[in-house]
Amino acid sequence: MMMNGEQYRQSLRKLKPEIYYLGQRIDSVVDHHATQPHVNAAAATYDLAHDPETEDLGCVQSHLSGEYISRFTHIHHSPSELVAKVKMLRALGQRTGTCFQRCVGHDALNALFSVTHDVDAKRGTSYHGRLLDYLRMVQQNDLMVDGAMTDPKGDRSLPPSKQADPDLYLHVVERRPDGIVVRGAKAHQTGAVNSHEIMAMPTNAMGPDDADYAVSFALPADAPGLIYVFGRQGNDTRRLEGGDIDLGNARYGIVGGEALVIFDNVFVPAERVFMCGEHEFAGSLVERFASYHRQNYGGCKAGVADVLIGACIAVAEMQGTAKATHIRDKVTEMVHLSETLYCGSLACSLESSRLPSGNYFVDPLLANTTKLNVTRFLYEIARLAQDISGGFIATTPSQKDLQHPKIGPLVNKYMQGVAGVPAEHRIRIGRLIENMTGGTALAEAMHGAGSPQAQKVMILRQANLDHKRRLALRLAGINGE
Amino acid sequence: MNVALKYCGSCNPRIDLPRVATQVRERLAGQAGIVSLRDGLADVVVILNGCPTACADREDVRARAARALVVAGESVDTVWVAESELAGHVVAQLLSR
Repeated sequence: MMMNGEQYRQSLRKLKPEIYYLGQRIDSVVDHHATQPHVNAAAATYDLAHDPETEDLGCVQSHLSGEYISRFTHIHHSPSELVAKVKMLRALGQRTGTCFQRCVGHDALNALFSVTHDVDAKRGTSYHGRLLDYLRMVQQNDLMVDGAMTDPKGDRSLPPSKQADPDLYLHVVERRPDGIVVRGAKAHQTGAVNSHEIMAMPTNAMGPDDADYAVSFALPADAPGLIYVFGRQGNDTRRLEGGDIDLGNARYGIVGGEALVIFDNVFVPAERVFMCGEHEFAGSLVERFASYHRQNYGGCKAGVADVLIGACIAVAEMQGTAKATHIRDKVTEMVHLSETLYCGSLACSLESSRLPSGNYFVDPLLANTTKLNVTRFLYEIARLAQDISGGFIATTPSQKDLQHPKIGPLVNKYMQGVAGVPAEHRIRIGRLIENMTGGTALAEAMHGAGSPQAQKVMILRQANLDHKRRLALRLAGINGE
Repeated sequence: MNVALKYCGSCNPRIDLPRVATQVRERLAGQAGIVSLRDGLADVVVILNGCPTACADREDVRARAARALVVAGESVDTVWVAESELAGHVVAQLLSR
């Protein structure tokens, strides 16, 4: 059964997670001003499956049941399915202009599908069967899963077991016959407050001393002991003002809406545990999840860039600069950078390979290259957007001033661009550019799916430098190569 | 004649697929029925792709109807057709057989 966006909203109302924001409990993420845009963005992933124009990307046949399911709950079984994922993300980026959050859990499911298989093969455990049961449940109920990997980490120079506070990495504190108890937190959790399930994974490779930190499991989002603290974003109090113009992207917000998720001695039933102490597989889980997640950014961010490029064209037309050579050159560069990112996501998908578990895994070198490019190119795309739009995006009067009975007409008069185009239209598109290129959006592009150094580590590891060295020695006629 | 319209997914369309589909429906009114591809009743499937990559032109899609007509950006069955004339060209192809 595939929900539509409205059914998804209703399904969230049935959950009662403990969520805090600005010191207050959020009773309903569907209705609260801080979280509603992010709910709308996630709802778009559900509506995708019901729109004839997009259903070919939004739906796919489950390899488990044969039923049509949301692609966000699917395990990739071919390069073309990985390509379809990237295209789906671009389509959603175009429609929402922001992060729509659901890919994190999708990537967690795919990573755990393969790693649980590997753990069982070596250790004789039964994690893969549990994962399949869980996956069937997720597919059948069309759930949104938050893939929770990043721990707070404390002192980054120390491993988890050497931290002054052992809870700075999520870990097992008690083992029972029917499950485990965990304590710790996961930071920067995109979409967690409007997910149905939380799927935790270790954030680092782990050694024997850190076996209690090599833990992976899934829980309902409102499980006892889970506490969410919803994070701030730049301009977030604009949502309190009652208008929509100054928000830029009023319907879908900016980035995904992230939370600190605290696990305060939370019990996890055994059937929902997918790793517990098998530390030698933690690194593999991290690399697979990270690679799947880094694959995404050339899709979703290309879609977001499509919106931003369109906004630049629109504002240039409204300001009478659209035909200027330098404007067209800057727009060209924005397209070039965006499509380069898209190239990377397609490449790592097409160069994917089959794992022993039967699903397909992206090329990690190309996936990490794609994400590293995102950490640079989005900043340049944003810089060009701000260059094209002009400084007014940083100085424009508020919606309240625009609509003020006395000064509103004056604001309209002096914010006018090209004659015949309402000043409000120019202001609206300027606000969209302002919010899409602001600090929160760029920080997410930098650190989402792992920080640049994490990508560089993976790139260097995959670079096959010895082969490259021998190529050079051979052509240089050195050492009989 | 029953006609099904199958979209590619519109990840980054170069033509206005919904507009082409609407025009096709309007021009077929009274001359052919529009059915869902999943119902298994289609005689012809018009595969509407937003660009030449034609992601929806696949065996599993073609297998659901006796005949397929493929729009891929500004082309019909690989023949270039301007976007403004796509709907007319598609309908002419459908009604000619």
